[in-house]
Amino acid sequence: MSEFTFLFRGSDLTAQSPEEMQKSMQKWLAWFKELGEKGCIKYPGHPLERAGKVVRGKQKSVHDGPYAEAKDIVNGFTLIEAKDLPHAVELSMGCPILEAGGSVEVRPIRILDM
Amino acid sequence: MEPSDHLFRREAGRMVATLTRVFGVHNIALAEDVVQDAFCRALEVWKFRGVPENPSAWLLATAKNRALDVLRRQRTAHTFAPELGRLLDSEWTLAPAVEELFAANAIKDDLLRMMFSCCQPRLAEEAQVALILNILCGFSVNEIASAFVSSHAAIEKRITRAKKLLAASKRLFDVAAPAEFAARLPAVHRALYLLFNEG
Repeated sequence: MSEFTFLFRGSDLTAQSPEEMQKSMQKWLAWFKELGEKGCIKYPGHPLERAGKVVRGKQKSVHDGPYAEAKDIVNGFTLIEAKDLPHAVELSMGCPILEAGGSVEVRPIRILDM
Repeated sequence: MEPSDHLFRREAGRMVATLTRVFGVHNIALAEDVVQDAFCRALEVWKFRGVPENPSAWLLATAKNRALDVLRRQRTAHTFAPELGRLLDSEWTLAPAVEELFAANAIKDDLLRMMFSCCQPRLAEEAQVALILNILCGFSVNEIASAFVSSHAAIEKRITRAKKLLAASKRLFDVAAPAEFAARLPAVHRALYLLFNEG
């Protein structure tokens, strides 16, 4: 088994009624439950606040940010256990954020064999 | 834990009613924003961490904290509920006053008061009912349109106009005024009927 991180981008929150928001949440819960039952969740992860700071370069300059388009901002992450990259990609297919036009970035975690 | 069916929709009405009482009826849009914000937070946190033990209490506490934030930051620039007098003006009374307004019994009264407030005699009954379904019962424009067998655009217009008119009324309806109470009762009944019909 290898480890992967899912980085979630884009939002499924666009002026929805309470009922629609609940449906969206239930889709997420169902997806997480399915991953959990398959034993693929290493760590459920966290949602991230939109606004933070960006510290950059040797000068260590501090900026508000990230100021990217909403669809490009990472708004949460999860750690996944999967056989290989294709398997991890397959697992990401069920993510409800995709239906709302968002994206899941699937990145293998590099583990050093000592 | 699985959230119960229609949890958000049920809580939406209670939260908007209470927040409108706190902010004043002219700030109903602000109340709706705070509710939307609480749902966004719930959606973001719960999908990663699971649904909390008592989701209703979680939502209400989130809305209450956000309300306190708004009141603290904007009380110099805005006037809030005139019914509450100067309770919200000072840090001494603000938190206990808001705490009391969010108590379970107070919220029940708020729902009723809000329901009658939506039945503004200057609005057509159709508009009154649409308003109740949208604000207090958490129905989307689409769902209301299908209940009324009407178009999305027509219902959206009707609700927007009705909200403006409601926001322009200076105070929330006084449930203790018997004469007007009777006049507004039929529309309240009709909204309740549609609510149970739609599920």
